[in-house]
Amino acid sequence: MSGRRRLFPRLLVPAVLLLAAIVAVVLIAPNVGKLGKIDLLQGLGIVRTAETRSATALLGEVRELYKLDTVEMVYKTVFPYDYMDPALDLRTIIAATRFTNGSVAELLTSRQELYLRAYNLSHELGMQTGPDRYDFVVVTTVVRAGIDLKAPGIAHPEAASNQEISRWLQVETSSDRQRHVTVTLPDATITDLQTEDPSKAGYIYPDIRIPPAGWKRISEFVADHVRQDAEASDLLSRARSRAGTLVESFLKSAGFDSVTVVE
Amino acid sequence: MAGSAAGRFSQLFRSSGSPDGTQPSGRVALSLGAILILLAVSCSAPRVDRTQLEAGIRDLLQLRTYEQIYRAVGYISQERSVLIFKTVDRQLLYAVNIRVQAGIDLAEGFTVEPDPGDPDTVTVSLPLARILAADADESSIRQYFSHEHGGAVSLLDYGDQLAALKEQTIQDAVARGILTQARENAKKIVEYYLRSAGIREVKFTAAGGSAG
Repeated sequence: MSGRRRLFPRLLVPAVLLLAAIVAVVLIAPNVGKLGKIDLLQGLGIVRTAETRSATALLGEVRELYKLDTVEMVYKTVFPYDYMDPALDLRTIIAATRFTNGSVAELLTSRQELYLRAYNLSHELGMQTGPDRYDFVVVTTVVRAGIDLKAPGIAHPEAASNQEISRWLQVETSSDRQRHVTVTLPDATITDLQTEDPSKAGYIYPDIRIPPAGWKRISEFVADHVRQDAEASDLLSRARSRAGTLVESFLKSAGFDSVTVVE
Repeated sequence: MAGSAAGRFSQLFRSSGSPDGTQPSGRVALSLGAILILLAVSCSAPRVDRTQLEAGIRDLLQLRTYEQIYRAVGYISQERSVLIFKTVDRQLLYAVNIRVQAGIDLAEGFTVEPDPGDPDTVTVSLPLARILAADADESSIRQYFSHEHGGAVSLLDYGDQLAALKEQTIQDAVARGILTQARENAKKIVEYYLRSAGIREVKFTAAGGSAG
């Protein structure tokens, strides 16, 4: 009897611990990876490790959001008037080139040169630019913009150094266990640019007699300048601010107490 | 009855200890076990419940998930003739920026249903995307030329033309797929969110019930 009594306490300690450990693992395992993991890790006092790991994972998730194109610009260019600054005068430009020695690039400002090139092309294609008749062509270009995913650290968050990650994203936990994240937005860039051919159904402006070769020349002329025009518009800043709003909303929904987005 | 059960439990506890009934290692083991189980139970309760998930999705879908900025070009042409004489010949060409935004209209409601057989799978029903805003930025207007014979283009004519241009722009945005793009973005955003909450698989249906 006394032998049994000695054996039972000796087995009880490891048996209870083993049983408790099994129960704990069974109950905890399904929840690892869910939003509650940070709280658990904080409870176990390994917050710093968890934060480093979660910053990498978080940047990966933020990158997925950056991949979304959320803004595009349908840019209609009016040829040739978009290139003929009304503040300039054709006669002055021609006089500058006719009575002075030197190349056009040396004699004219970039705006004057653009004016002259647009005027010459429209003239060669038989278009009139006033005052009795104003011929024009509307060229449609679709420009998409998004966050530059090639930035160091953003391109491959999983392989990024701590320094690269903290450049874009910093997770902090305050003494009262409030979780704060600061996100620095990478630059926005033009991700796609396509000039469309006009169709009878979609072209709502007066038709004009221009041969296909003439249309090609106009289309190429516009394509050479539209990227610059789109960059000068608010497309890029809009793409960046929309990405910032999306990331902020996402991180707040994911449980962060405060989110700061640095543009 | 309860008292006798408690008595049996204390008897068992005492019987597992030393003759004086106070075996420290047994108590420590039981205490540790109880702490571990309590900790596990407190962590096992799902921290992300359905209400929380729905609130998170609702916040995310407040965003207008796709936007098109149009540099639209308007053209006014008015002609009137008496016999062979033109009495009115007006032409006006201008450009204006119009912003069209689309997203999910939350007023139509959405649901998040966990799969009864698989707690890591949820089905989200999202309404179709709609145009939520279309605004013309009148400060961006650029007039290219105006040819006005027989009177200038009136303010009301111009206002009507601008309203028509806005309507044309919305139709063009829809034809270019703004609604599809807005819905696809909404689905991706919701999916990222649910995955970050530990949901393994996310299925979507349109609010009417068809796959979406």
